[in-house]
Amino acid sequence: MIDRDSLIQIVLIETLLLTVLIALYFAHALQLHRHARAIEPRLVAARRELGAAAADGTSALPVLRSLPPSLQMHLFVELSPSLAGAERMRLGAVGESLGLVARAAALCRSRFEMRRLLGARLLGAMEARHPVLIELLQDTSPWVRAQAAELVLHQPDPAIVDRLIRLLQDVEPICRFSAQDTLLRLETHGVAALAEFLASEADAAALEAALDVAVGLAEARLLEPGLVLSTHARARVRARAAALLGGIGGAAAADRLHSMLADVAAEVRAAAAAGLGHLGHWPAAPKIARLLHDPSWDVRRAAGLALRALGSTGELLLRRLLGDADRLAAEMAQHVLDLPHTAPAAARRTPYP
Amino acid sequence: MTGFAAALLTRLEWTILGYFLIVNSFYLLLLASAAFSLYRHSLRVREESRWRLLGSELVPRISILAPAFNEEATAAESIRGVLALYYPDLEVVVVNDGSRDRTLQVLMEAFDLVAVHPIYHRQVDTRPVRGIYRSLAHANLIVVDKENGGKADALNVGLNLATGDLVCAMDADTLIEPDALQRMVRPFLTHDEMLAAGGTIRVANNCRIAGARILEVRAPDNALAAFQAVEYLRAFLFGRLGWNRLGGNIIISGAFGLFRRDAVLAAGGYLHDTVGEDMELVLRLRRVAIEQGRPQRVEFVPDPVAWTEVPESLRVLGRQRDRWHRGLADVLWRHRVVFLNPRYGSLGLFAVPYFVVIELLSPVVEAVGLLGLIVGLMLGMLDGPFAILFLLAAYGYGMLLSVAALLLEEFGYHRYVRMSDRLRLLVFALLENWGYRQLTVVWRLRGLYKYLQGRKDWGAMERRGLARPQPKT
Repeated sequence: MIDRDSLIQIVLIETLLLTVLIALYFAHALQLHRHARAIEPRLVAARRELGAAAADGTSALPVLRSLPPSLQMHLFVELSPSLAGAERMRLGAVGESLGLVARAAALCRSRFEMRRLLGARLLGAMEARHPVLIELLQDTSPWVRAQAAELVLHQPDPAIVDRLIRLLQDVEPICRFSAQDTLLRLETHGVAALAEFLASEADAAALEAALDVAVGLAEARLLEPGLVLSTHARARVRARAAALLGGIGGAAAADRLHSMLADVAAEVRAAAAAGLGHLGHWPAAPKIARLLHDPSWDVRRAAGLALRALGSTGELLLRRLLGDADRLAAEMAQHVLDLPHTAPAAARRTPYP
Repeated sequence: MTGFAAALLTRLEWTILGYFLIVNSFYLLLLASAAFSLYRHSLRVREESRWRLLGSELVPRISILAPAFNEEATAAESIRGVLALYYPDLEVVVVNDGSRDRTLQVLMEAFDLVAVHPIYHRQVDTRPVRGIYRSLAHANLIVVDKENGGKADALNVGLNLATGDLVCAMDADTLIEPDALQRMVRPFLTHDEMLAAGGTIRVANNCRIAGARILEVRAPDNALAAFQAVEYLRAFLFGRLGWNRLGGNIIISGAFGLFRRDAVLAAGGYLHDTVGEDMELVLRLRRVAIEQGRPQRVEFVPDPVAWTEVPESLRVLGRQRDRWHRGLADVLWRHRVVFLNPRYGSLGLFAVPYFVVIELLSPVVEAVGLLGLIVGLMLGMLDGPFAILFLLAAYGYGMLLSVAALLLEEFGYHRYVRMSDRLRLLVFALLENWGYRQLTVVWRLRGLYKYLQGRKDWGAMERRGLARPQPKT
């Protein structure tokens, strides 16, 4: 049936393939083993040198200088997140003196996406304020744009903030996320540009992204756009605006939140209740208490937690609700009163999707 | 008549040989796809620093759903390990599914639990909840006590109580690596249409474990567990990863999977009356999204890792494989409308047919092929060279793929550091297709038979627990 020679050939081929696979398996294992034995002690010593250089500016780095650039860069990336302030700056200076900043910048100009990504990460590890990072904010690769957005944190000038704001409208979610996160970390540096953006005619999705940042900042300059956006046609925007007003506070914010307790959208009512609870605005307590009869579960829960946050006024109303004819309202009140003191803090930051 | 029978048998055996060639060649395609994906992934995460995620206020909240049934020996340590995961916005919902031992008491003592009035938003129907507890020590821990209803029911209770955007279903005896969630959340930050993501499950047997952490990775010392270690590497590193590029991921392991909570609730949660609830959920999520014209994506992320204990006895392993195969058959039957249906795109034309023809029916084909080979040889209808060719196509080729999976692990992750462990895994990769694989065929056939008989039970799983005496050094 089967030609004997063909069968032998098949056996030989399979045997050869198996041998090659096994050989590669052990060759790699041996290579790792040898690498670890040869390089690991030097890496340990270089790590110590680099740590010392970051701590006190030691410039003699014989072991570190003897390592190949790829390993040097790896050590910088490894150590960088553990450092801050002056130590981080000294680390960057060491990188500069080793020529790694120039090397990383060259990678950032590569036509290969992964090399640009690596270059951006390396520049970030050395906190190098290199103009190439701004160019990467407009890179064709979303991964590179997102990485660059993360790394411009240490370059809070207006042009960069402007680019970050534009990234809030990026088609790629990862870019929007990176831009949002960086804007939050930039704190006051980005507020003016953010307020301007919130007052613009941007589309709803971009406004939501910007409002998520604004909620985290909760800065007074964002009050005006927050008040305007609290009447936006889209419920998701209004809900975020409510969260923003609840973070900023003040009479105008409290008044607007009070009116938003009657919004048509459940997520807005929930956010308004949470906002008033966060502000400790006890005059709103009776209206919030009525929300424990709301048809939406999320609104009831947000209202219950808000009452608890209002202190004794809110707790009094909760206790009164224990005997309410609406069983759900009574049970929610009981549930909220039972929660240990730590639990409300662990509730969702934002009671909207 | 004899001549006719011989011709028929010969034709059948050649057909089955062809089936093996096609199947193994498809696995080779998956391997190539996986190797490429792994290479790209390794470049993408090279020198990546995830510390920013740790301090981000914008990451989606993840609620870990941990069903527990008779876990008094391991529950507290397991939950401590989960609470210590490196993720900035984590909620842990432990569901005590009517345990008959002291699981709830152990949790109450370990985590300083106080009872709160048990009201919650019942979005999916479940067995009654007896109590809800919050921890004085851990603000993000919720423990629910309910009447026994099975794993799916417990997960549904967890879904009802969770507040996270994403939910991570895990088994009580699964150890998740500390940074696994940071890695696994990545696809959800990258794609708005992401429905679910899965990570790699590895075999924890014989690893050195302390404080719900894997301190040293070791190959299992038990032969059955070692075979399974090779199997898991093959299944995850090239099976699931390979499907990423082919758009066919329909299994997210119940031991470690991340899902969009609103999508799961909208789809009705986990089904109770199937033993393949994890696969069923993923297929239903994808199907519902397609039917509603929404984009949908399910991805396997290769680098977040969870560790689990695998059976070390034939009896328990047999029950597990039997149950998995029953689950597979059940799920594919429930969603049979997807099969070869162009409306469902690659899911209907590619992924589901693969699971039917290759995963579901392969034990039948293999058993028929082997029996036919033996009968044919005994009756002189088939000759030795054909038998050798058959074995080479079926098992020799399979052996190459098993070793290739080890190679992928070695190049991609090299988690097994000791040469002795590498050697051990290699030996079991070589032996896997000569005995162990045939055992799994028997168990899967049994599962298929039981499915056709209408059996839906889980069978008893015995666990030694991951906190057991350390391996010899």
